[in-house]
Amino acid sequence: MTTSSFWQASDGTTLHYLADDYTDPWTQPETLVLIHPGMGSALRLYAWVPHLARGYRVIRPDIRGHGKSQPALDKPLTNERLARDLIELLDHLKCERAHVIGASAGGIIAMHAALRFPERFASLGVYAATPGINPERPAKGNWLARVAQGGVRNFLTETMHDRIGDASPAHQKWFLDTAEGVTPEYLGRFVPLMASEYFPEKLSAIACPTLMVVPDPDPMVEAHEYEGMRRYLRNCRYVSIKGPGHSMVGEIPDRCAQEARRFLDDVRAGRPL
Amino acid sequence: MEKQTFKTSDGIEIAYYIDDYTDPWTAAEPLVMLHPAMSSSRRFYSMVPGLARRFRVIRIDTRGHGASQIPPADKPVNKERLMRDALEALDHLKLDKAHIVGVSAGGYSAQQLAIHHPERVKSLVLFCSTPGFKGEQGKGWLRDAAKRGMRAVFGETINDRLPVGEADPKLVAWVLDEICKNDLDFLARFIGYWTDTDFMDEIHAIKCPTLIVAPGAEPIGAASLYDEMMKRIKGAELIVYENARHNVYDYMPDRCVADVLKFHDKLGTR
Repeated sequence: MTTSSFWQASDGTTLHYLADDYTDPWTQPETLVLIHPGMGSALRLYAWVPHLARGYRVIRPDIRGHGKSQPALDKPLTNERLARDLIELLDHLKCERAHVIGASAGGIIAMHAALRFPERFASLGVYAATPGINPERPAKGNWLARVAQGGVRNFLTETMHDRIGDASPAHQKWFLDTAEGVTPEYLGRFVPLMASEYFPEKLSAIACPTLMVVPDPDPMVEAHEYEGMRRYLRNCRYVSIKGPGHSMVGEIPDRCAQEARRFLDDVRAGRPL
Repeated sequence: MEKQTFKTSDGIEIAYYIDDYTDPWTAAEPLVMLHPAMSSSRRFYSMVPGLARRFRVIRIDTRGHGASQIPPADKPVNKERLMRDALEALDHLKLDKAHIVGVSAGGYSAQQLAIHHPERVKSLVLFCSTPGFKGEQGKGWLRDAAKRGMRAVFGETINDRLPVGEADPKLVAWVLDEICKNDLDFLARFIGYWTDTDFMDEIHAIKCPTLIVAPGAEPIGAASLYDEMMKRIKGAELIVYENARHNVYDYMPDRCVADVLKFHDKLGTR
C-alpha cells in the first residue's frame, strides 16, 4: 500500500511524500528516497516501487512546488533550501542515513544535498542528471518564455519526443498528468535556480557509492556533459542505456529500477561497483 | 493507499487494501487475495510487490480477522456467508470478475465463490487449501488453546506451519505473534465451523482455470485430498512443493509469486 503524508519544512512550507514499505516487519529497513524530475511529481515513479520496496522503505517526496507540495512563492528558493527539504524529511522520518536517487532536476537536488550533508547519504544515484543545468540549455530552448506563454502542459507536449521518446499516446498523456501541480510562476524561479550553478568539479568531494545512469544519446543533454561529470565521481558505477529519452525514469521505469536494485544490492553486499 | 472498508449485507465492517503499481493508462486485471484462518492481509506483505506491478492487488481481511470486525454471536460464520463476503467485496469494488488467490481457509471461500458464482471468478490459485478442514486436528487446537492459551498451542505446533531451523527464526516468531493477535472466541466459531465442513462433493463445479499448490509434507489436513481435488476439478494444474510445510506463503513467498505469474503467463493474462 502506498501511504500519502504531509509534513512541514523548517521554513513553514507544507510538503508531501508517498511511502511504500514491504520489508520484513521485524526489521529496521534502510530508507531509499526517490526524487522525481522537475515538471514531474512523485507519481512519476510508481513503477519503480515494486522492484525496490521489498528491500527498502521507499519514500517518494514531491519537490516543493510540484505535485502536492506547496510552492512557497513568498519564501526564498535556493539550492540550500531544496537540499534542506530532503534532509529535514529524513529527520522527520527519523532516518539517519538514506540511499537517495534523483532524476534530472531531482538528481541536481540530490547532488547538492550530498555535498552539503554527506553524513546523511548511504549512497547516491542520479538518472539523466547533470551537476546543475548547463546555463546554455534553457536559454537555447527558450524554455521559460515558452512555459510562460503556453503553460507547462503545452511546453511538455512540444518537447515530448525528447523526453519519453516513442511512448504510446496514453503513456504520454499520463506523463503530462503527472506534471500537474507545477505552475509557470514557480518554474520561473525553479529553472533559473537549477541553472544557477554548474558544479562538475565539486562532485569529487562525494565519497559515498554513486550510480550514474544516462540515456544514450540523451536528446536534451550533450554527451560531453555526462562524460565530464563522470570523471569527477570517485566511486561511481556508470550505466548508459540506448534508446530512451531524457525522462527515462518514466519511460523505461522497470529497467531503471532494476539498475537501482542491482546497485543497491552490490552496495549492501560490499561488492565492487 | 490506506486501509479501506465496506459493510457487508449483514452489517459487518470488512477491511481491505489495494496495492497497484500497474501502468495507470492500462486497465489492470484485478487479483483478490484471501488469507488463511488466524492470519490477515498483513501476512501477504512479502508476496505483494511481486504481483502488484502486473495486477491491481486487493487484499481482504476475512471477517473476524485483521482490521475487519468480529461478527457478534448472532451473525453467521459459515461457507455461504464467507463466500458472500468475497462476493460483496467484488460488488463494492465494482468488479464483474477477478482473479483470485486463496490460501488455506481463504481458499475455502475462493472455492465456494468459484463453485457458486463462476461468472465472477476469472481464475483461481489455491495454496495449501482443500475443500474444508473436517476432522479432529483443528478441534484439538481449539480445545487445547482454550485451556493453555494460543501461544502455547500454536508455539508447539509452529513446525507444522513453518520449518523451524530452516525458516528465518524472526519470521517464525513474527508469524506466531500474528497468530496470537486473533480473538480465540471468534476462532472457535470460525475454525470450529470448518472442522465440521467438507465440500469435496461440490468442487466439480469449479470450471475456471485453476492452479493448486500443495505443500509436499502437508502436516495440516490430509495431503491425499489434493489428488482427489485434481480428479474433480477439470483441467486443474497441481504443483507440489516437495517437503514443504503448510504455510508456504509465509516462508517461500518468492516461489509462490513465481508460480502465480507463470500460471498467468500460460493463461495469457495481460
